[in-house]
Amino acid sequence: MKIFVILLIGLSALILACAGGEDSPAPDSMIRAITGEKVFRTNSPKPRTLDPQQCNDVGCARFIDEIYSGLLTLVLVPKQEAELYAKDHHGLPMLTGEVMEQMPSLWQKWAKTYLREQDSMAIALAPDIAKEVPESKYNSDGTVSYTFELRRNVFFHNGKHMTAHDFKFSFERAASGNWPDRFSVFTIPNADLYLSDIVGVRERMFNKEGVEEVSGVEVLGDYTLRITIDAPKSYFLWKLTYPTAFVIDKDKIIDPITGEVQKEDWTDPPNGTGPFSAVPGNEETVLAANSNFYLGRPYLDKIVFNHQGGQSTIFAYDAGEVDITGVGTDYLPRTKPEHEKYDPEFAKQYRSGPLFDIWYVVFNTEKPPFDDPDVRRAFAMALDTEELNVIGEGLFTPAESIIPPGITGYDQDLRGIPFDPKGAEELLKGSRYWGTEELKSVEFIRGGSGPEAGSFSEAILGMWRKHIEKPLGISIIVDEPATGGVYQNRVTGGDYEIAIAGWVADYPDPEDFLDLKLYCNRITDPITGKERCERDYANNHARYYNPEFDRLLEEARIEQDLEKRIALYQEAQRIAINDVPWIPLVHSRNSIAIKPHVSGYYPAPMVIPIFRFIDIVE
Amino acid sequence: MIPSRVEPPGLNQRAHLIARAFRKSRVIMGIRRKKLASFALIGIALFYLAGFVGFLDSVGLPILPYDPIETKVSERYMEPSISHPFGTDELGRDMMVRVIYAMTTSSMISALVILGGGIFINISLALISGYYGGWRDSLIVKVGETLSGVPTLILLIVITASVGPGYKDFVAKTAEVIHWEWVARSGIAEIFLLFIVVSLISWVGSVFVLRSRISVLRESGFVESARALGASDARIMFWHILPNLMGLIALGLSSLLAISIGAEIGLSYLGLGIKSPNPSFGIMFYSLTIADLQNHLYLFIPPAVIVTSVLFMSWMLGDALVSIVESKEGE
Repeated sequence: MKIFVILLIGLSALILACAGGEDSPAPDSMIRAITGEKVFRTNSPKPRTLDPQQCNDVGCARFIDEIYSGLLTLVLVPKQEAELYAKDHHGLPMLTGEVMEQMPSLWQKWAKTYLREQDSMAIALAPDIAKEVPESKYNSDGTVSYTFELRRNVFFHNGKHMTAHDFKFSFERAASGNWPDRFSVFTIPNADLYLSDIVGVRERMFNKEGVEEVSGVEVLGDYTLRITIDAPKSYFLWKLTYPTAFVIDKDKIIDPITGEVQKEDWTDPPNGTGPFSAVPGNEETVLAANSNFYLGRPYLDKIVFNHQGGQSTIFAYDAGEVDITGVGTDYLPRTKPEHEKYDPEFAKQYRSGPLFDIWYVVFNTEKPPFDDPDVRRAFAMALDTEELNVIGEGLFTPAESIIPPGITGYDQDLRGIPFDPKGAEELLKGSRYWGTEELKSVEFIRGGSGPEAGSFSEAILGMWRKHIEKPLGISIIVDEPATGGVYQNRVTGGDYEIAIAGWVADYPDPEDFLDLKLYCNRITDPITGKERCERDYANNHARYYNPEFDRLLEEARIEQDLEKRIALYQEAQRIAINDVPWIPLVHSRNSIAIKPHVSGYYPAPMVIPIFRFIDIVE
Repeated sequence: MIPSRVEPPGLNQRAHLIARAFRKSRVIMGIRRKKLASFALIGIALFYLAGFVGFLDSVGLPILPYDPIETKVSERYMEPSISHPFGTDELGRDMMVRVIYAMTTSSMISALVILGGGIFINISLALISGYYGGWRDSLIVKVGETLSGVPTLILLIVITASVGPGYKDFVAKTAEVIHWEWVARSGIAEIFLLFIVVSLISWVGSVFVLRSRISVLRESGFVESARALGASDARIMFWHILPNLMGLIALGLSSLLAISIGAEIGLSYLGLGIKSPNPSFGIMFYSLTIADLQNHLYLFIPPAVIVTSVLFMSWMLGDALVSIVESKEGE
């Protein structure tokens, strides 16, 4: 699932973290003993939004995946059984509607066998509100249609019956762009990133006169929906698992009686079709089981997300106040038998697994001196990602490529820019900016709160100080850590020179990394007359533009042969590594501890709906 | 009566006399007699000396063996040794150098507050308020009471949080225009903001004490006589009243020392003061986790001991001063 989060000590695995509030709840076991309720407790920051069409980070997606649902979804299946489910779909497993209906109990069965092992699960595409994952139908005009048969027993949390009309409305709202008189206050063009393959989405987004609907989404009956995309794109179905494609209740947005349009406030409380209904709050957000859920009521009665956690959840975890905690490098010794702090009970509760993510340094390639690839490359050569790996104490893998291991198209032969301080010096001295004001001081911004952004960026700074600042007299001015919103606005608006960022997979396809993050296709803005990227700079924060790279991505989008498609992405990736809009730093790992009474939790490599399968047992 | 001199004391002799009054004052004599107070004075002097060494190193004199920001991961978490007396942190940075740099930050701010603002603001406000009385007195007292009615830390937070961003923007832009990037880089601008903010609110206590003493002195016999002889207000204030306040002024300054060091550390800890990578004790304490306390206690002890003892010593000095000033000792 996608993210653009502040780098907190590089331990993205700790996103669940944060410690007990002042009036800590009674230990879980006590509550269960008294009420018999199955409650899962965790600490989590308050989500930025509960509007699925505005959410684009891990923090809100974690909630939205449980509260809402869409046509398709992502499910983990054991690698050993994956072949059973693998059809001809990228060689990746795909579940049928029938399997989905058995899923909670099937999952519990898998849990007993596979979940304790590291890296034992693969991501599968599965139908959710749709009865089955549809076949592609190739039309004579080059477009491709998918006809979704919807389940008939889908209800919103308020009891309203959901039909295909709700989906059509949802897609049209998502694509309403920045039209203030329409339904949204969007500035995040999620629809452009995740739905623009659908015929008519871009026409509606870019305010073409008279385009009131998305022509590629057709209601063929109350329970039949046809989606037409502009070309055969094999990654498209994955995009329907992203929150932007989830179904929302039209009556919550447009008041059926007064016709008044709610832009933001409609999500309190949200009305979705997912396995849990939500009561949001400032102190905690409580998700309660939706007994009308079309795939069967989830096992858990409640999930309590405490928003008032402090710095370390691990104490709350030890005290039995939460059921899950991130385990950072500070507490890893508790899991290692050779260490004096080894705690066998804790070690049994510890789980780790890969995360499909990439953390990187991003340059603003439009701002001098970083519009010169040599300068960018020199900064990359002065960074030793192995050192970051040492700090990560095994929770990181040094990144050589943009696409992380585990995602189709990962190129294990690719090597990034090597660590070479001498070479960096030569490159900088040979650069056209050498000796100019632009290269005398450069600005480095970091996200975070408090006085220090974290040891990860401190380490990067320390290396640059050693290899660039001191020997070459280039000052690296560090701006104060900016909190989430400010940081994101600066990076999106191009008001930076160097920044640190991360990206977590939305779906296991290379398109999610290369195309969404670095594709530009420079066009002339019809209104301002200035040149800009086709999708503006919403996601391509590096403002990177290389026509050859773009051409390869465009070719890869419609390539039907998987091997050829992967080859195209790998070639594009080599170009991007070579041009250094990013310095890939590390891929991180999940590192959590989970209480033994929680059955079926697996640290997923990206955000996927998981609480619907989890049980609490004694 | 025949004066002891042949002519009235001249200008340069006056300065000399004030200095002598200070040297011979019972404050200095008293401190010399009190062992704890002299110990505190020496400790504070050492703190400033270390801060000065760090300052010289930061402007380019190669005094200290390591760089406070440069990382060396191969030497991370080294326990104290001869080459790293305070050990090294998570990123292999020498803790002693970082502590010295943090002392530079603290001592720069407190010196600025005391020398740049404290003395001037305290004495002039107290003289105006105590000597003239009337509406000037009411105004200063009312403002002071308002300021002291609000908890200091909250006031500091409100001011830095509201002014800080605009100020930083202004500094960054100005620095770019006049090509003084080092201002933005070195953290001097941040130190200056802290100086202003701390000075703005730290005067209240000592001004109140001075003011009440002045309003007593104003009515005393020797001031009356001076006034009767036609001495100007300025002459009375600086020549007759000020020398009688030396003890209280020194007391005010010693508490200002503790306030300014404490405020810098507190604000930096909250992310409103000095920003990393510029070293500060506040940031150091912020970045140490509970796990560091358990696993790498040596990272925590030197900065904690230094900060606590400096604060303790400045209060000790203040305490000694109170007892000296308020007693007949040394007269």
